[in-house]
Amino acid sequence: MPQYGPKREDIILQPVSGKALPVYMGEVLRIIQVDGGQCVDFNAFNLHDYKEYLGVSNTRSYHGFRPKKGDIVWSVHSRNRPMYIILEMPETCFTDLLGGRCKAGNHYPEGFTPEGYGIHTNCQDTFAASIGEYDLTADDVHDSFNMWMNTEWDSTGQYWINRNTGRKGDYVDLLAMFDTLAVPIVCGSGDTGITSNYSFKPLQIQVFEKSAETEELVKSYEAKSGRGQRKLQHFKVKEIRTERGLKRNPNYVPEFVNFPIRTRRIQVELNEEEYAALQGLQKIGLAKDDGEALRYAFFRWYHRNHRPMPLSGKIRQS
Amino acid sequence: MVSADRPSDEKQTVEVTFSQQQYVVLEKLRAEGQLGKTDAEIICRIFREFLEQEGL
Repeated sequence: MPQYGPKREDIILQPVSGKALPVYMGEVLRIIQVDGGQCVDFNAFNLHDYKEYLGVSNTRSYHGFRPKKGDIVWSVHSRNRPMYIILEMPETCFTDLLGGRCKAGNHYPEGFTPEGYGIHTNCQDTFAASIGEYDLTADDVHDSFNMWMNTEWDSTGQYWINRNTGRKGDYVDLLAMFDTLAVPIVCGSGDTGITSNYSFKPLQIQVFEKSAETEELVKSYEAKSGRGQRKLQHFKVKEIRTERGLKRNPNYVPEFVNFPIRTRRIQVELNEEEYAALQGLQKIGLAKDDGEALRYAFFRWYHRNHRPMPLSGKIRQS
Repeated sequence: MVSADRPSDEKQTVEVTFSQQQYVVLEKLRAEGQLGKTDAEIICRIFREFLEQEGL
């Protein structure tokens, strides 16, 4: 574990609340279970450009459904930048990239409606209340990186939530790769749901200043994983819209990548035995003609044997 | 009937189409030089390896 700088922030989040707080490049955000068993929802933004935010699906594409210690939390696909490194995470912290976040509507069937018992606490509204301090709106809340949220799923695509396994004193350390606005919150659905074992508990949030060691870590991850990132200067459209309604720009000409796609024909000679095998691939439904069958075989082999994997992701090549 | 021990000399020409991006993959493999010198050689070699891996 690297040596962090001095602690500069130490707050308690009482149920059900959250806090948007800057965590600068090289600093470490620590999220601590005060009593254990509390689900944590987490949003984050580039402090200098809020359109770059934590990318749940991007992180999932690199690390699968459960990022853990040593994995990278990525910004959105459009920027594709390492945002946090998970420096510490106990095995009792199941992470979740499926649930998004809970919202008031989840609890309407229980009677928690504006006209009934009033709305139930929920993460969408807690995030919105927290990021309002930076003039961000409810629409800026994004899918949540959930910690201590014990979801499971099956091969039919269903998922469900199990008992929270977080223990008192458990903590997660996130190293900021650039200046961020971090937004940890106490999940608001865990009293009537099992997410937090049917009771709300507080969380402790600390921020440690950067140190020579954490700065070095940032540099090493940047060198290792930062190549594929995109910046605003790469975008054709750079300005953020200020009007809510969408109007077509008649002067806009899209620039699609490698458009139109060009093709090249290659003649390949196969012996009788190989040709029969090629026919066999078509018989079992893998291709409609000889060329498609040969291309299928080529790239299937390439994927399995030769394709460089981006980073050390856990996504299996089938 | 073709014997596994003595493949026939009969050749069948198959035309395969690669997009320009797929062709980059082929170019890189050609530059590496381990799977053949020409596009056709490399595709053929990979096809054989694919068949072997698939047990076909």
